[in-house]
Amino acid sequence: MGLLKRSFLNLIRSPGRTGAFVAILAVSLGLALTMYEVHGATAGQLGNIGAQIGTDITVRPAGSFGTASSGSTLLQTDVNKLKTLEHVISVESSTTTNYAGTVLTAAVPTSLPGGINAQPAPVGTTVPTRAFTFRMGIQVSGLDPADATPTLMGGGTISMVSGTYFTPDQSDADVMVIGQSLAKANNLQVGSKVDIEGTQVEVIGVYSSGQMFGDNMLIMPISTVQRLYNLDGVTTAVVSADDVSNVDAVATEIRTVFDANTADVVTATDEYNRIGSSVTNAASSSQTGMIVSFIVAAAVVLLAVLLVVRQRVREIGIFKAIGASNWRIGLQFGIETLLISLVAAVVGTGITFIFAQKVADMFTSNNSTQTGRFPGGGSGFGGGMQVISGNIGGIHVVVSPVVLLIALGAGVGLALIASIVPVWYIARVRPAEVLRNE
Amino acid sequence: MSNSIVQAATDNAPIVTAEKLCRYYQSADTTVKALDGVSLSFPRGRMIAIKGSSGSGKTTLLNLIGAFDKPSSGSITVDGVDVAHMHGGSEVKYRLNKVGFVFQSYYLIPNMTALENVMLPMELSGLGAKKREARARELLEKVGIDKTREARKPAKLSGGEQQRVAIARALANDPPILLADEPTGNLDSKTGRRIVDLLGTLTREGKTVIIATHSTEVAAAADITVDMLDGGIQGQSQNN
Repeated sequence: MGLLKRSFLNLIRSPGRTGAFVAILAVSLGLALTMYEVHGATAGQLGNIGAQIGTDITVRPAGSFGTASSGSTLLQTDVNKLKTLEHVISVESSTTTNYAGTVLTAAVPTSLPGGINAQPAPVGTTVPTRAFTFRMGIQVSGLDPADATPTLMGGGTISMVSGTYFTPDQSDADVMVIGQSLAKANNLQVGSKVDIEGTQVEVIGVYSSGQMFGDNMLIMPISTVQRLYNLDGVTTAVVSADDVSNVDAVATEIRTVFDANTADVVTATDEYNRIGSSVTNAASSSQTGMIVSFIVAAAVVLLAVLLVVRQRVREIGIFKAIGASNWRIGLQFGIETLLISLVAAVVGTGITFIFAQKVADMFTSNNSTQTGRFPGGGSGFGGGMQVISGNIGGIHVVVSPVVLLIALGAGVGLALIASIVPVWYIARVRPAEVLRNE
Repeated sequence: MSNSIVQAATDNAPIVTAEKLCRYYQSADTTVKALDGVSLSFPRGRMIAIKGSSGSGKTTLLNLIGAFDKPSSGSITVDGVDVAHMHGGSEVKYRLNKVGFVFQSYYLIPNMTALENVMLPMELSGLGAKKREARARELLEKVGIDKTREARKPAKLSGGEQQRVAIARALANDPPILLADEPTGNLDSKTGRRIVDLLGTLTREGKTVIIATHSTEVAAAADITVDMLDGGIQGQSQNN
């Protein structure tokens, strides 16, 4: 009978005991691997968050808050200076104002309390239910015509439903694209002309942003907006740094161009920290959990082996009496431990596949975030709504089959560590002491 | 040391000699003298019974001959090997090749069949699978275990059958000395006599059989009886 077969038979000789060891070890290993996977996912998630929001710096006229404008603008000559700063890879300017005409009707329903960029109800009208009920205004955004695919809502884009988006050739033309719901509310289509501040502006395209507020806008070339509304400068400049680590340095440079009385310079650092905190907590917790679980797994194996060896001390004595070396007996116990560890590793892998995402969700369930790039930031609707509904702080764990290899490696490692126990114990057993007559 | 293990002793030389052999145990504040200054000489190819009551030191003497234990002082030489000063690999080789041990409680490996139990010492000495299986079958047949019982595990064998398997296992590597500690202690008298007869036949093949027993009947079947009391030898007699 070979050593392997004998080891296997020894394990099934006490199926209850072996099963208990496998179960406890599998749970410990599964938990450790789950924590390992969650930890890996959190690290990746932190990187993603940093990549999404980490390098943008928003410059707005001092006093701007959220989507509300302070009424002033940043001078174009100063904004142009931003492009020359070190570590700046792009500057996206936009000018945003509110439609003040009476021709168009907003697409967003009225009585949306506290709505972003809302306008007070006209003086003299009756507010039926609440003192602070607002009517959503139509937002007019002037964007750089060179950017054919403006970004909306911190990452969203617009898609043209009909007509075309304006081109650099139309940088000062009286043209605009309008949101789909706004067009529908006002029976507008491509070719329609609307009076904007006394100028007939042609609708050359209708877009859909997939968002209620996003579709309640007029988008024109930035120069057109500045001309129609007599605005000198821009209301938002989003500066992108070349790396997260350079954001603070670039922000400092921007503050030399715009002093604190002129503009608010907002970096993503605070937002990043806020969003990342839940993920960071999850990363820290999962790392601690992983270490504790591995220690528990090692302790389980060590105790199991010690228990088995002590229970089978007579068998060790018999083996020694018939001429088996300590090494040979130790090898048999080592193989038995290895078999237990490998089976536990496979079961533990299954546990990881089943529970990794659930554990990750537990870590972040109380930290779901509603976030955006930062108030008034973003490139597309500069100064407009930049709220992203989402759970960027959530962790998506993808358990790869590689985890099985890690589990098997951990199992082998634990078995090797645990083999120290029988080797030590067997060397101390003297047949004369354990084979006394009953 | 390993050279001394394979060193062949002459046929006339005693197979076991001991000089002032002592084995003391420390128990709490008292020293138990399990073996106290024993000197003896056992001839080769005989059945020797070490007779005495419990605590007389007979099992301790057997353990020292089998290198299961170390003497506190004195010397013991078995088949030319200084057993008292063996360590590690020498001890393993000695147990594997020089002595076979038969226990009162048989001590077979429970999850192995009779055949596998007998094959085990040969596996440990590195004999090929086919050779050890053939020899194991031969030994089982010799001790009276028929083929229908070869594949049985110890629990499915009677006490006498288990002891026969244990004797076959002890003979597996063809050792010159067979040590038996109360081999009939767990058997009825009829079965016990058969086991003693079986051990007696081994001396005709040149084996030296040393039996520790408290049974007068077993001692009477031996060629030489050594009487022990309180860790010392009371007398030695030659049986007819």
